[in-house]
Amino acid sequence: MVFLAIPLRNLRQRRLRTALTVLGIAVGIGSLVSLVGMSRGADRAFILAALTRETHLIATRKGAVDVLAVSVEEEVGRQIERREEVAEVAGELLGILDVRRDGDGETLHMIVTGWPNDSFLWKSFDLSEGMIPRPRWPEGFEIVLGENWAGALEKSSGDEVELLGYPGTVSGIAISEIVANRQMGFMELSDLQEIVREPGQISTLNIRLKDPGTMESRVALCAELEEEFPELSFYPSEELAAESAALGFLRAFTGANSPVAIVVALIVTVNTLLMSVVERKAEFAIYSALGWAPSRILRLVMIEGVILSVIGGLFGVLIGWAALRWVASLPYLLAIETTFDPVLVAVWALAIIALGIGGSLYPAWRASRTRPIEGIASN
Amino acid sequence: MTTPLIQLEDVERTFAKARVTALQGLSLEIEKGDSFAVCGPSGSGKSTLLHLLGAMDTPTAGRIRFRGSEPENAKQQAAIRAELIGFVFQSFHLLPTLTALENIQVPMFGVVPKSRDRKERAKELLENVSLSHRAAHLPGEMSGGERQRIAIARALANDPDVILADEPTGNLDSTNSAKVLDLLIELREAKDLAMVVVTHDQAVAGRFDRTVNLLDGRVED
Repeated sequence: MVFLAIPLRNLRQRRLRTALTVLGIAVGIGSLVSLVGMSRGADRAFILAALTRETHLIATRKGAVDVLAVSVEEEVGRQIERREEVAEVAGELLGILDVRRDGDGETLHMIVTGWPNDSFLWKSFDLSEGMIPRPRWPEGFEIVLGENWAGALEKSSGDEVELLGYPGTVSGIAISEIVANRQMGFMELSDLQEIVREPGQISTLNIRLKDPGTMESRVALCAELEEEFPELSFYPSEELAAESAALGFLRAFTGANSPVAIVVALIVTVNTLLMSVVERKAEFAIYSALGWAPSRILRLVMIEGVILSVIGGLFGVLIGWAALRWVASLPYLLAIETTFDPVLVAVWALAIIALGIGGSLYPAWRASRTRPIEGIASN
Repeated sequence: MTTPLIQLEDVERTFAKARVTALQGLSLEIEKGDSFAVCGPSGSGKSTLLHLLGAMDTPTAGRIRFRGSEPENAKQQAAIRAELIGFVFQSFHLLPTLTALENIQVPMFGVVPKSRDRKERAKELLENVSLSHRAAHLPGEMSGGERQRIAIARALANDPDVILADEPTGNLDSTNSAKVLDLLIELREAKDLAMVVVTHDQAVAGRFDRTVNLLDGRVED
């Protein structure tokens, strides 16, 4: 018999307790995985969406916490476009609009973006059917639905759709590897400006450079542009996520909740092992009476703790990942890229083992202090 | 002159909380091959003596030496229990989650390094107590007599010099009591072990070389 067989046998013989502990740890780790995954996935979705549109720089109103709440004059884009380094500038208006679902009549909230009909933003845009929207206002509007929205609303190109109470037509369905593109609606800029009653206004400016250069050169150009246009903030697309206030809030939320999830998992581990140690006092006394050194008893309990954490952690990662995939599949929530990240997996693995060791340290110490006569006193 | 296996010198054991002096002024030597029974009424200090002899407890006064030296800490006491002494308890104290073969291997951790050697040795001991057919059984699946024979095999796991048995037949019927006692005596003689048996039963005590009678924590003359 190898030493590992003893903790394994102990856990197997106490099935209900083992199962409940594993479940507790799994829930703690699962919430952590999904929270962190949401935050990181949303960051990644934003960045990928910008990069695939060949946008090198982004400009927003200086000091804008929420780009949806402030606007920039569309005219500024034309001024930026005159700069030698700049190939093209496309204004973009973002809004969250009510959309009514046929059938149950439920009102959902869709992130809709408006791009000029002739801008470069449409060039890398893939449609599974239909065509890009044309300016139609005041005779209605055309919209391309991301495929998740098309599925949720059960719409295909040519169907009618109602946004903010205005009737319009689905001109096409967007397919994309990029989650953000699947979870949005895309309209012609001027039509969206009319619907939200902000003519001539945009939320952000997408700037394509003639020569993208290096990250350093783009940062330097941003500084130059900020001097020339002091009312705007400029940053490379790669920094979009870091600059986004919405994602900042999500990161703060995740940051605040992650320790709670870790503490929950830790308390579950400590509590179960401590109860188990108290309950098994006689057993530890027998080990001690049979000549086991305190360090060997300590190791026994710690191994049990690590095994529980590893199994619980594994289930937790699976639960968290499944929850994340489910959230990412909902069209009317934040766009989340659920990409497999081996570095993050390694971090989780280490965190889970640390949880097992940390959670079992005190109970194991208590067990190792059991005196042999405490368990055989009945004699 | 050889060093005694265990030597008690004017030992006292007081339990402060209960304000009880369980043993006082006790001096005793156990040499290789010694065998004696410890008798006395309940509360006379029999079990306390056995715990002290087994390095499971520490005296409040006096000295206990094991092979000539005093253990200084819990680790050294554990090493004495592992290598010098084998225990047989009244309530068997087998680990319920482990099979008979595995229970016998428990004391060998830290003494017999290879798992294969531990298993082979446990099989051999199981054969010595005629329970090879119970190797894969859990304690809950065995009779009292069988459990005590497994406990005896476990006590011999590390080839000790001393066997300490606390009422080894106390939980057994007369048939199994006789079998267990015969086995203990047979093993003691075969291996020239020192053996100390705590018992209430004068018939059991009579099977050993001498009897130490305790009364109120002192050896009765």
